[in-house]
Amino acid sequence: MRINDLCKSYQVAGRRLDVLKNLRMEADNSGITVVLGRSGCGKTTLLRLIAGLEQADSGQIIWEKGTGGVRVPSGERLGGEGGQAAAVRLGVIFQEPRLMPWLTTADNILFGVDKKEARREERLARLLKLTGLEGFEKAYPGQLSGGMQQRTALARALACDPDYLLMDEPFAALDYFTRRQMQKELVQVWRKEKKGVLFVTHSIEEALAIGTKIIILDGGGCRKEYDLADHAYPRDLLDPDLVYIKKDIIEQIEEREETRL
Amino acid sequence: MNRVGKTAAGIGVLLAVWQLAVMSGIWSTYVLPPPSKVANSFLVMAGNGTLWKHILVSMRRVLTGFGIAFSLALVCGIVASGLPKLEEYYGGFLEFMRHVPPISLIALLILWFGIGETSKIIIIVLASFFPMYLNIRKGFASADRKLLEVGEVFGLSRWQKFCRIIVPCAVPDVLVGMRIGLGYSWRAIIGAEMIAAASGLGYLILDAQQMSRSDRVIVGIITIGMVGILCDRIFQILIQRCRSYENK
Ligand SMILES: Nc1ncnc2c1ncn2[C@@H]1O[C@H](COP(=O)(O)OP(=O)(O)OP(=O)(O)O)[C@@H](O)[C@H]1O
Ligand SMILES: [Mg+2]
Repeated sequence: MRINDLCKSYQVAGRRLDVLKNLRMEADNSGITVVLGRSGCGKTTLLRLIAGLEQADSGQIIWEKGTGGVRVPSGERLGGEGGQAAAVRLGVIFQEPRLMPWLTTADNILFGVDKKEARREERLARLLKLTGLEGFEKAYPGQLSGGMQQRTALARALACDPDYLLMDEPFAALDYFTRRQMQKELVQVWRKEKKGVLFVTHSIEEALAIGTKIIILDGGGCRKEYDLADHAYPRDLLDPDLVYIKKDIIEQIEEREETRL
Repeated sequence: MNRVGKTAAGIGVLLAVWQLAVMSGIWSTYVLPPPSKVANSFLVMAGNGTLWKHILVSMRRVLTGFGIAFSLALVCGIVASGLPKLEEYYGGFLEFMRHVPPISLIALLILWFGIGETSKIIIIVLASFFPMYLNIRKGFASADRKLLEVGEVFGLSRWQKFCRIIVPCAVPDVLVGMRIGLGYSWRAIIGAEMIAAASGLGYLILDAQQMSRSDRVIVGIITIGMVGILCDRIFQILIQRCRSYENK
């Protein structure tokens, strides 16, 4: 996926607020690309633009899949008319689980799957196993813990077999241990399913633990990129290489802060 | 003491006060019959079947009126939340009608629709429409935007989003509206049966009033109250069924 000169501004209290300014970035269709940035730098906005929930002012989001490139003009919704939905299927995981409270775990997971689709049960069983939710298929979201709800949301996104996963700080609300656990599970899922993942977070540790590529989003653009594809999982965050990258990321973000002051 | 016991105790105190008031002799037994006389009338009327006949007749009117009111409220409520532009045309009129007591329309209704069932049912419809309309409109308008976005990213059509997200979100409010509406329907039965009725619980009360049979008036009142509670209970159980996912 490539993003060219993406611009987006909002009107806040009568003033124009440029959230994204000529953003250029590239995300591997089979890696975990982590977008890292401070609160309010436009991470959620970027994700919503890619998901088609928001319209860009200008710029393009271009999907390149297999041989032929598919172009999604800015502002045009994925899943709308034309072949775009068939070309790139997106799975979106929001910051909150956003499960349907009136559906059981099983029905929530199958929410996006066609009723007539064959082998629904088989798929459900596989996803329950993958996300460790076996035995809870008849439970309602209100009966699940926060982490289990988030895993249900992950399973729901995977259920329609997307080519690409968009995740907006999905683990931000979880405690340290559950968070580590979920990160491991995500990496496992990614390995097994070989999907592209765009993961938004404000935690440097999280970015280092899961990303094959880290993009620092700042001031409306892509400030710096790090390639971590060579680092094997599970990662030791005390590895000198990673510690070095972490220091550099902190410097990048803080330096920006100083020039602003 | 549990709930039932406490309720029974409360009713017992009420009966005792009633009995004491009768024994004090301030009111003649014409005006205030003793509980025993009311109980006797109740048993007689239940025994010879007149009470059941009245209940059935009223029940039919209430349910017909309630059903019509609910259908109208459902259509108007869905339109109001789904097509707010269209609502602007009828919203003002509804707002006006909401403040007009249905009984004030009896004279006109008799002139327009005669003294048959139609006028009676219209009274019930008018009485129960508004609480249902307001609740249903609220229910359909308050679908969670965040959940709608989930539908969006799964590529659901407008119709699919309506069926699979907006309707389930609205169900609890719709049921609450129906429950309130049913209560209002029962309360309108007297007004409805003021229009030349020959049977029904409202008629029973009005007729007994003409005959100065206070005991029968009280029997009618108690019956309306009990049937109302029964209907409400059934509804409450229904609501709990539909919202069971919340309590579990
Ligand atoms: N719907 C909106 N209307 C107006 N302004 C908005 C809207 N959504 C976001 N913004 C503005 O855009 C900026 C970026 O918001 P965004 O939600 O993308 O931040 P974020 O990077 O996801 O932050 P966080 O890490 O806190 O979630 C904020 O300054 C916010 O005020
Ligand atoms: Mg955000």
